[in-house]
Amino acid sequence: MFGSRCDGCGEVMLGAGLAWCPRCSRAQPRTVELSCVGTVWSYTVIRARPPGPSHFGEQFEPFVSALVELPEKLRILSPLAVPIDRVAIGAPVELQVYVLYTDDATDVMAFCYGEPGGGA
Amino acid sequence: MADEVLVAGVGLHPFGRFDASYVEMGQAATVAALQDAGISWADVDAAYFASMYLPATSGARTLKPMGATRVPICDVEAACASGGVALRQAMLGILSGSYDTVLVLGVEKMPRGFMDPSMIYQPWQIDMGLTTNPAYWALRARRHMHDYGITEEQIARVAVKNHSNSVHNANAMYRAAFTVEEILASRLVCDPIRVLEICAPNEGAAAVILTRAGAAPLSGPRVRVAASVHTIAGWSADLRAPAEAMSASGADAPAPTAVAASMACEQAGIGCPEISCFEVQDTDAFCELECYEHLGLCEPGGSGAFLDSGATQLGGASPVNMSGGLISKGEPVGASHLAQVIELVWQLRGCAGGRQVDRARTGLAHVLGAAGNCAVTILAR
Repeated sequence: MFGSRCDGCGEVMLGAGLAWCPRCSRAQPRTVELSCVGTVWSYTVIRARPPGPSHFGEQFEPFVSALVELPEKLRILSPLAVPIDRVAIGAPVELQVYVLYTDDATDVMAFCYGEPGGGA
Repeated sequence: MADEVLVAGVGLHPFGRFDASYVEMGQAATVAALQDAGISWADVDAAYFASMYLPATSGARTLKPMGATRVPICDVEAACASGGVALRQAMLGILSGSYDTVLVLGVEKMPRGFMDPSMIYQPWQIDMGLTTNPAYWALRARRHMHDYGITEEQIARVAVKNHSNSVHNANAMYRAAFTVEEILASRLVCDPIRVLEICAPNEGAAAVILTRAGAAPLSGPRVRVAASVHTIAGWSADLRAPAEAMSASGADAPAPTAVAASMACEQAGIGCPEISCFEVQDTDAFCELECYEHLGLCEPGGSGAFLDSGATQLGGASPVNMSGGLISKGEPVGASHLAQVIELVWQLRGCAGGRQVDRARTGLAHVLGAAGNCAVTILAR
């Protein structure tokens, strides 16, 4: 996972290639690699199939969605590959990357966070 | 302020689900507001039309059939704050000296269920299924519970209060009272937020006619727009669609509600605790608790106790959502703020029936939505 760090105010944002720092307006934050580990800052459970053409199968299963706080002081909104009854604020989690769907033989990757050492 | 801007008339099409088209609902609200003001469409110098989910030129499509008077009709969109932003444009138009009388009309006709994600999310968020809008409210609620000990029962009691108020509002979509047990037994949508604690996107229209004081004789009691403010949340000051992340360094940033309310109170020359009554954005029951804190009605973290004190019930010191709130009325996004303003006008005129606030002299209306759009309007007698 990549982020952008502002040379002016030091803020770290999600995603590479930002044209400006949205906090202080300085141009061209530097692309940086983000930590792969963080902690659960808050969470909820998505109980119904989200609206729109997402990639859930026939049987929708409720899943945890969380704000994961990285050491860079960035909180990322992400699905959590953690059982509903095991999620808690402050729990350590680790980045997982998985194939969301395949488009014309190209794998489209997505991210989530799971229990450390849990694998994808 | 050189000139005073007064509310000349108001008109509401009920909120709910109807066979009527958005044009018909908008015209019905407009006709009611013109009648209330005792003027005709030909007396209106300009119109601002608020909606989020209607096609281009919906304002002209709705109003031009009432008479092609060549006045400017401008569509305005600012998510849940659309109505407040349209009202502010009308206010600025009058204060600039450009117009004497301006119509502000909010209309929406939204399908059942969650809001169309293509309107508020990026394609990758839709691909990943991160499009459940109530998740944002739930994430804030969960963290607030963790930090301050607000309980699920306190969140449910906001819904009990607002549903209970709705029984007196013939224009609300849901008009049933619920016990706290019934609210807590309702289905979870995004933990800890339940289906009886959230608002439904729906249909309706609300019209407010503003006029420069002295421009036309007014029949009813004099209600003045004391403040009209719009802001967009600062960096990470708010977690709301379509945010994909937020910064921990935004923790001390003032919330958009606090910013807008502070600006509005300064304009009006009044403090929030002295205001007679409030209509606030209860997209979910927790949002209303958050509002108590951001409006400065109680200390940070004190909203649960403030609710428990009864202060925000009808008869309390600071009644909130006398109309039943969005939880009961539903949220036709473009119309929601203007309906809040209409509720306050009725309260200030003393004609709010079973939900009348005793001796209401001032009222504050607040909306907050996607991208951190926040609008606050203060009315005064």
